[in-house]
Amino acid sequence: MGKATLEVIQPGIFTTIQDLGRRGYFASGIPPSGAMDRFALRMGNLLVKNPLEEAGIEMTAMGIEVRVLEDTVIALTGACFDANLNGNPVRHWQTLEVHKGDMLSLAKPTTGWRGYLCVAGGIEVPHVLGSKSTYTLGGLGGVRGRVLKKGDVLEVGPPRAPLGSLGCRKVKEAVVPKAGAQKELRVVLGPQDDHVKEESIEVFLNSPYRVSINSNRVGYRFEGPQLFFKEREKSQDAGADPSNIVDDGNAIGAIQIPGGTEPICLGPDGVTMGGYVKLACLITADMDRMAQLRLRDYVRFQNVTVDEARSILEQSVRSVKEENILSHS
Amino acid sequence: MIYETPRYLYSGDQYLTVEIGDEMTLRANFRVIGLDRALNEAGIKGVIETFPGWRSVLLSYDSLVIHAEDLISEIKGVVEQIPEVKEVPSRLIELPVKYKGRWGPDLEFIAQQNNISVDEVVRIHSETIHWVGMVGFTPGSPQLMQLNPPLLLSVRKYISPRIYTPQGTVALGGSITAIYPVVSPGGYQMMGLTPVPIYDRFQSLDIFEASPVLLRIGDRVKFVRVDDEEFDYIRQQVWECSYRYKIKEETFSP
Repeated sequence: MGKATLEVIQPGIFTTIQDLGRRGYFASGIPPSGAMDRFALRMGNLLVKNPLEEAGIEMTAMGIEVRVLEDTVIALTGACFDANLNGNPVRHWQTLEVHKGDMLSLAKPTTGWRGYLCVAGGIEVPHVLGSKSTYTLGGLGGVRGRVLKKGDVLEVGPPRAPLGSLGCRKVKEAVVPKAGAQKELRVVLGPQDDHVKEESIEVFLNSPYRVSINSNRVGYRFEGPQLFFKEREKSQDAGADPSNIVDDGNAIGAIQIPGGTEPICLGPDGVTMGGYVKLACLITADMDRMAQLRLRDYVRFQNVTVDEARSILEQSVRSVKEENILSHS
Repeated sequence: MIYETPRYLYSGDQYLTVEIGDEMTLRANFRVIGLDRALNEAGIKGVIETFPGWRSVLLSYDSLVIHAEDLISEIKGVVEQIPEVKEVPSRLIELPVKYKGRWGPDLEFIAQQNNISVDEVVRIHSETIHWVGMVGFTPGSPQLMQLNPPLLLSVRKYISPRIYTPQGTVALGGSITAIYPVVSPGGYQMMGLTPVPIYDRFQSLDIFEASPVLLRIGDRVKFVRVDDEEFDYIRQQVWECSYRYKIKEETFSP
């Protein structure tokens, strides 16, 4: 059993409990979910010496206000919020000691879009299908399968290290993602790039796209130029429109282009299958970037190889290590 | 068509699509089931899970454990040795449906499009056995193919999807029937409502003990027509957790 540690005073707009997601239910139509910015969650967990896959609080577009019910140590990573503890400004990407009775208030993000609050010991909610991650559409995980509400009391597990050893730990400046880096989203072409006209692939890779306000953990929509499909034989099975294919599985990060307009990039809660051409897929490491895009930001898509994508991911995963933490006592 | 050899399509750096054809048929589906089974038995390192569909398997893998090209060559080794699947274990599951009424507003349109009466649509749909060819989109939503129907029912999808589809809606798009497990948007033409869950996030009924999802690829569904009174009675049983699904364990060959 965990200890009641944080009471939600204001829940923000879309605040959920997320770990690194669930596996094994894709074939049942249940996507992995999990933190959208995995680097930020891992770093937050490292700061408070949790296992890197431990659950934290993901906040979108607006932070939460919580009352602290037990002394503990927390870390804020990802987006930087206009944040204060009892009225005093607090810093991100470093640990913060909080005490019983403290009020932590996070307002709007000043940079980025999604922030993470990790607590020493991790947020204690039941594992549902192997994960604590909230999947709101299916009503799974987190706090009763839903976003946090005013009055929720969050329990926290036993810290993995003495709280006294967690103060003054800070992520090295060089490792903190630069604001603005997310304006370029790297993709691997396929699986159905062969359905799209070559000129249109060039247009896709060389045009600015605007993040639509209809963007969330299920999918991000991008407003940009019309793309065109190659002629194909009429298919009873695929459907009438040339952007239709015979349904197949959707990777997380897959970029569908229904009708050739408004590419939709699937997020961690994305629909698991569909009948639209998928021109490209966002590389795994850049889901972190997409998570931090602000609505109406402009982005560009950049083509990389699968091997490059792998190296970028490896670098991101390997950078979450103790050597990248500064600690002074 | 079914390709001579599968196509290996990158779906980003952590997913791979193994595509065996571009048709929505039983023979393609049987190939996929065979491929999926073989891939799972092979236990290739780094493979996280597989998702068999109409005509392809989507694999998710850990690219830090296995490189994409090594994964493909491992799969090629498996593909060479897949025996033809002639028969699969297939549960026959009865699902009650209340056709027509408030939640079957599109039956009239389906009838028109198929040049038959609404009653005939309902009769054909409830007398035909349906094959689960793929599960997904939302949790546990089946894609159902009509098996040897007296008349293949077919209808175009909504041109602009509706915002709200109630949980349990049975609907037709093309010649595929879907059941909506949760409230969601939708584009299939609505025929009616089933009172029994096909997705139970609380796993409260016994049948959901192992998984919150009822249906899987290779199952068959028989829709059983119920009236208002039976619908309410069954729903009551579901609420009391005393409802028993009618399921026969069988095998199926096309």
